[in-house]
Amino acid sequence: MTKKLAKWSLKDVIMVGITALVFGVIYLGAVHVGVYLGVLLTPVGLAVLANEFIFGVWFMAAAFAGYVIQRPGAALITEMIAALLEVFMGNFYGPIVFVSGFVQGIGTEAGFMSNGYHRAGWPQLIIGAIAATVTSFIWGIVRASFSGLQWQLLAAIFVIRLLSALLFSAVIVKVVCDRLAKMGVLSNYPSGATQR
Amino acid sequence: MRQLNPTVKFSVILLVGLIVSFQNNLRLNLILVILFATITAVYLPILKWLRLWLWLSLAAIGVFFSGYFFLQEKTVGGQWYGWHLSGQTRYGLQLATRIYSFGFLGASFAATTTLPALIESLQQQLHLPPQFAYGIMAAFHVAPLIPPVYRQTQLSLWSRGLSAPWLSARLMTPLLVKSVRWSEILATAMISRGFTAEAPRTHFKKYQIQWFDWLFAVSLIGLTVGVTFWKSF
Amino acid sequence: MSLQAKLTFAVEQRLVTVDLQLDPGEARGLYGPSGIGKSTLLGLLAGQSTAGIKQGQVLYEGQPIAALTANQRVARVSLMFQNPDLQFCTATPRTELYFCLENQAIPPAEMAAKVSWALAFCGIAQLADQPLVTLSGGEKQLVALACCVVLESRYLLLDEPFANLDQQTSQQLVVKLQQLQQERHLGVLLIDHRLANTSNWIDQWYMFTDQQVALTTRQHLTQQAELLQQTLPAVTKKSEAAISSVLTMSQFSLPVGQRAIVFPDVALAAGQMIGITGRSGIGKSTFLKSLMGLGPHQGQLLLNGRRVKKCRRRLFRELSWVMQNPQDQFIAVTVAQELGSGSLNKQGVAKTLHQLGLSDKADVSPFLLSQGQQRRLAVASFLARPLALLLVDEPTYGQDQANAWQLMTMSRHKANQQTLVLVVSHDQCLLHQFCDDVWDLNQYAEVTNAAIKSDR
Repeated sequence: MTKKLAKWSLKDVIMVGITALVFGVIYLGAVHVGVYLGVLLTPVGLAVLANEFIFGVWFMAAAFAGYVIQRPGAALITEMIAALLEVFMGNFYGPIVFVSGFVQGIGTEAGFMSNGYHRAGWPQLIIGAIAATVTSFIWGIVRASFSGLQWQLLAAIFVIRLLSALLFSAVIVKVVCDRLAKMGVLSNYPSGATQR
Repeated sequence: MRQLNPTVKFSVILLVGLIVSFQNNLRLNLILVILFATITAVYLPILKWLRLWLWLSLAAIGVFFSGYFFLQEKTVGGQWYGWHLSGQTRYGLQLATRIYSFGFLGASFAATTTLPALIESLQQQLHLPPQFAYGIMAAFHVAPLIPPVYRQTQLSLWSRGLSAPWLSARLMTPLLVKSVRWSEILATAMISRGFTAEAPRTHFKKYQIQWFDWLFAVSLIGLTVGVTFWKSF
Repeated sequence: MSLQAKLTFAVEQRLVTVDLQLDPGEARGLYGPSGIGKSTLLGLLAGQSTAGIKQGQVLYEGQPIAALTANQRVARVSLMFQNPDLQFCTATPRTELYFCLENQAIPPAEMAAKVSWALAFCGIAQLADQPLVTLSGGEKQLVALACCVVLESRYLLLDEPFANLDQQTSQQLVVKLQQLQQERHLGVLLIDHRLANTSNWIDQWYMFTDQQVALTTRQHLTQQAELLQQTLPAVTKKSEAAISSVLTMSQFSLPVGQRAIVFPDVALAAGQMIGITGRSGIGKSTFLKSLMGLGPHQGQLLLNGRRVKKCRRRLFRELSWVMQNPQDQFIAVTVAQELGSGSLNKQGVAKTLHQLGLSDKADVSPFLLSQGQQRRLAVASFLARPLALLLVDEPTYGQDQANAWQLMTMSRHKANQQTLVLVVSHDQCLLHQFCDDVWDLNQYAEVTNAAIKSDR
């Protein structure tokens, strides 16, 4: 573990940290909408769905880092750094968020692991999005104790989260990263190097 | 709470959160809520504390109704400290109190710990590698620059007669360009101040695990485990 | 016993030969056009990398710097950067200085005294425990200087340290640097575009040209600048009397900190170019922002007859804002797309590229251009759209004379096409040459908020 961590440079850590914060800020833009939507959905008992539409934003930092840095552990470690930062940026659930970060990171990581970290592309991002949905869903059931809910509602949560994950952490991440690589911004990273 | 070692505090609260997660224990939830809402009240200004209640309540009421309406099998209710609760209400309450207990556990941590303190302590107690420690710290301290840049990017797109839809690749690209650039500039600056991950470094502030850390850990985990195995109804 | 650099290094397919020497207690400058590779050279001199060095090496007291690790290098040399926002990793000046000492593995017992001394030396003891984010650019530069002081480096290399500072703050920094040079016997080498900042201090300058870096004097550089000035194309101010006014201000005032800037009642017409100047922190950017509805103002502000209240997209149908740093505004993958993302068609793009001298760079990423090219591209990409009002923030910042002239010419050209152009700049000289009118915000009635209130 320490050997793997030693490979990270200071610049990489700062980069994934700032990226996580950027996605956090973007996410915050939607939180207000999420709250109002949640309040609207409360009387019919569907408030739990409100945040699912943007759930995929949570996986973006990990997917971005995994895709750009292409190194074992990049996605997982990034998601944990993101969770740690989040605790101090006003997420009042505190340390337990760290567990969520770990669980989501493992899911995204699985995508990049699927081909031995050789080259990241659509399949890796999509597998990562699906895996992160599955792991975060299982943890969500445990953490929020949703096991008692009717399966239809659980299925709705799962499907919406999956779509959100595919859109944000696969499609948008891929489009943005490829642009950055073409712009020459990522020339110091593997994903930028393969572009040229 | 402020005097506690940040690593110990973090781990214990994390562990208690996990214990809460793996069961449906209304009594445990309520005990933790009362305990930590009180602790939080000591450390937070009253207005912030009330706002915390408000935010948590919005979430809690939401899940209460989800639990109430969508319970799998409508089990029979029962007596609870002389209250008659239907199965639905009980499930809803279990979900809702869990939100509160997570919220106050977390808030009690956040209100009494700073990120630099936790990072320093993680370095000293758990040997977090220095590039992670100072990298995370550096990222944290540029956070205030991000919202203005978000706005700036938006205006820059408008200035070209383009729209800047929220969460579009067009808006996100310039923001991520900045993340990469900033990380390069910051890392260069830190290295020019002599930072290197390999060389030994000293620590101005020492973090140690003391007797009251052990007391906190043992008593809180003891309480949580104790209530878990206390015959529930 | 000195810093010696005899080397050849590559910048963008050019090979540059350097012969540079700096003794302890000596102060020299490094001068040259934008994008020529000055910052790259400074990085090499500080031993941050050896990338691009084809031949030769950098020696400190006879020892090659590149062989040392980062924490060993600082004993010899410290670097200071131009962006005051992006050089700290902790919360306060004091903790930042502790960070520096921890890097050096200094025993904790000795730290407090060293830190207090360095803070006092730089005159920022009173700021020691304030969050860094709340400090001004000048204060941050003094903190950066304190880092160099606490590290006790023998040489100090500065990359445009005054770029974000006004004259007064620049002079404070110069005094501190002189003190370091003379009392602590430090060798100082700094990059600057403006000789005026250090006119009573640094006489020896290294001139950076396409192929070499060689020693010359300030006098010589000043003469050259004057010669260059004569070769620059003349300014054409086409001032037609426009019919309606674009921007109307009446009883307009802006709160800036504890003060307020009170503007005279004016109606500005299309086709005019107005320069806005004043010392840092006076409220130049605040003024531009208020025109876009960012931040509060008092009195009336009309853009094309409509009140400016909140910052909405609608407002930007009639105005554009060119920001200080071109890199903040690039949105496209290639130079051609950058120009085409506005309202230019293909022929228009080709023509503009030709005017900018960027025809061969059409498919290159904007980020790979030189600094001067980036700035020209950024300004040009906002000029194609028909506009009522164009706001330009410090277009010539960090630019050499020739580039600055071209940028101002581009803005003037837009004004001549019936747009009202407001340009913010520190460079009063340039403003007077290009603008129809120059507002010095220092001159504007500056009263405390309390005084305004009692007036009403």
